[in-house]
Amino acid sequence: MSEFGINLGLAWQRPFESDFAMVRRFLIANPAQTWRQLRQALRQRVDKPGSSVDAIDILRNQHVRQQCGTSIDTKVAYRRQCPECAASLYHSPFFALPWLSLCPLHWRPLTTTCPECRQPWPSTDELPYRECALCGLPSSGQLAKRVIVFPLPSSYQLFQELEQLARREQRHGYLLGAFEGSAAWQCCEMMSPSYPAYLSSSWRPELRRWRNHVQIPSGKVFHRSDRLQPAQSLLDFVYLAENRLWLNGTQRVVLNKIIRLANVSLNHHLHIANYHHLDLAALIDGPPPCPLCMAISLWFMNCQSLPYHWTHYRDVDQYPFCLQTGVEGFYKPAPQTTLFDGDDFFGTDMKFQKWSYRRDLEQSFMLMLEICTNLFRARRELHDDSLTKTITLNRDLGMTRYFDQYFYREGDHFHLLYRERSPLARIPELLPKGLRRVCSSYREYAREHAQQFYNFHQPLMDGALSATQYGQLARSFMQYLLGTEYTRYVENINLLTNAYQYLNTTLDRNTGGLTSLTRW
Amino acid sequence: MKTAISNIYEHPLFDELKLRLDTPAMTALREALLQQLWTGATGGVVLGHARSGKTTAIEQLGPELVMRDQRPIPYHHFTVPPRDRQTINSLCRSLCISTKHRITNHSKVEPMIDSVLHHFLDQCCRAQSDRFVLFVDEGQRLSLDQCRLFTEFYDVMRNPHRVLLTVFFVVNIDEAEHLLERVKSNAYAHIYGRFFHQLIAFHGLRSEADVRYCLKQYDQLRYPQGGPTYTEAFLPNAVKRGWRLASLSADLWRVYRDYQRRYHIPSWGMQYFVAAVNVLLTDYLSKKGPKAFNDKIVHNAIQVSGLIPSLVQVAS
Repeated sequence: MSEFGINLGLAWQRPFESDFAMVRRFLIANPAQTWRQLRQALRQRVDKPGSSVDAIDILRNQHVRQQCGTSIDTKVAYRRQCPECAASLYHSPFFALPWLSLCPLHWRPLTTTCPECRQPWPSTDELPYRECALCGLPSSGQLAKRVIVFPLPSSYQLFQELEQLARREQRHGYLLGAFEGSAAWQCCEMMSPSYPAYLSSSWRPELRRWRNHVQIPSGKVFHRSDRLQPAQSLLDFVYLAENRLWLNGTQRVVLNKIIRLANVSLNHHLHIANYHHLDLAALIDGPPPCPLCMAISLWFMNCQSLPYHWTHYRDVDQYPFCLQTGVEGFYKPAPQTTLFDGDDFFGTDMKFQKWSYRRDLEQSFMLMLEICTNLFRARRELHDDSLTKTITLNRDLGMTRYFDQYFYREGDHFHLLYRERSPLARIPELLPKGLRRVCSSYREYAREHAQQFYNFHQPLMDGALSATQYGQLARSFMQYLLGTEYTRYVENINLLTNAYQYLNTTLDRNTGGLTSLTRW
Repeated sequence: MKTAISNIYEHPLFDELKLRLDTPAMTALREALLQQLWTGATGGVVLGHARSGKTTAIEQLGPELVMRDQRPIPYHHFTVPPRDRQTINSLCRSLCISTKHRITNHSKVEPMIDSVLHHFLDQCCRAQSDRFVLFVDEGQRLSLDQCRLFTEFYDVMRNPHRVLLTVFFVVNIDEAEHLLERVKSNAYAHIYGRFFHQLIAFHGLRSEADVRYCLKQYDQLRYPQGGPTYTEAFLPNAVKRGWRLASLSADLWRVYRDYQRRYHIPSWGMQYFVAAVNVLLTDYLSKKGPKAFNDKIVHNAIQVSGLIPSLVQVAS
């Protein structure tokens, strides 16, 4: 096939445009050819590996494409657009920023649907089939009829500022590591909802002006920071993670907080029980388990197994319903986090870490509660023939709305941004109504029908647990773990036995120590 | 140091497409075009007799078009092909072919128009220019209804792209009389006002001075770069002695005038002039030397050039 002329639609080229805009104007500029023919022509012309978008970029005569931040997913950036910009074939990847509500060029709200055809904005694959003149591929005649005023170059100043921030973001490679757990803190990238809060600390005067113009919401964001301490490796800070007494004490503090909230706000009496027998079939056949009690049980077992060995830590979360729905373990609160950037390791001081672990425990409870609530609600949709139906159980951190912690590093300081002072405050929002009735009916059902499996059941008292009471609870949990029914999940029974013995001796010796830890 | 020519037949005098001579008419045309462009004209008509060198002039002047600030103006040279049906569709197809855009038997007019438009606009963007020039050669082959297409181009490029399209129709005066008369009617006022209001005449050589102007270039242009002049390449010894081809201008003009009077030729078309001079230089003078120059040689050269219609007629 001989080479034929292809246009690039350069007349519609604007600064800081997205790949989507580039492909769209390319398709509009070559209306007589199909996308397939055009791709073939691009391959013939550009003898370099890469996508069609790269080829268009090369063909447009060394115009350097304005690269955007790595955290912006350019493939789905088309989902948010400004109708005015769409009419002039423009789109910027910065429209994908969740905190940018107005188009900086036209000051109109960014939408997810086309105002003319009321359909979601089309992807590049859908473009050739979209007949709408606003969001599809309009002809030159249609475009000529519109009153299109191209913005002045100065209007793109915010994009320029954002691009500079994106470039800065690209340069760093911070990761947060955790010792025997997961780090719930996400790097404060441009796509983070808390990014404006991060910006507020570094708003340059010219950028501050834009903040009001395009109504960037600042919201209420809490901030905590600590000086970073250089370290040789991740293991330099394990001393806290190995302090089992301290871990137990912190867990007790959070548990008491949940108990108080359940008793006072929800008038609900909590029970900790094992759910290792619960599968989807049991969910359909029997009454649903109380999401709050189930969440606190899963959470307690999850964090209580942490101080002993990572094998138990993993195996304890092996629930039949998890296996059936594809959930591979739960979020593990990390008592120790280390920031690393390439080969450089940094840690924060003890006080900061203790605070962060307690918050992490609260976050992990919220995640458990969200999973249990989703399971409770999804139960209505389950039928005998669709047991394998996938239920959205928030498999990773990014999917849950309750992880509101974002970190960033500035110089030798580690900063943490978070929206809720206590994540537990949102418990009532999550829970369905009539919980008390649900709770009692499930307990009765479990006692009758799954007696041999329902062998760990501890009602929690209305008041706060003392260190001794918590110690008793932890001891019975360990006894349960050593029980015959559960050992099939445990890989290394010897390690667990040792852990149990350690717990017994430590509890006998250091009850006072546990009490003192509650101050944290 | 003079650069030698490896093969004499690569010389521009043996390749009409390579030979680029400036003529007084071309200089006048350049000035007229720039005047139109710099004053924001939307178009004009370049009128000239057949074989007077209009197409060559346009090919040569196209890259030389600049704005006042010396920014180059992108252009497209389109030659209207003869078609049995003068429709917008056929014109669009021809335009697509000239811009190398792929068309099929089922291609529709609108996408073809868009393809051509975006081709023009892309060129404007690459040149960072808000002007675009379209030369429509052999414009006499167009119908006035087909000319409407250029008004559409003009409109779309103006809004929203703010690009001013200037269309110059290059027409053969002998064949365009009917077109130029009809376009003056009220029905085509929008076409007349945009494109046919300004007429630029283009002539061949019309005086001895014109002939000398062209012959001087044979004495000045060099091939290859830094090599001998065109004249020197064929008459090296004579040029060394100080002889120049321009010295023949009076004799050439005198002989041509005989033919002009006899055959009522309006001007010496560049194609015939170049052919005659090339034959004279490469075939006669190069072999016999300048001293052998006489009127008979010039007569022969002019006749070989094809200026005079063949006297041989098919017997009825």
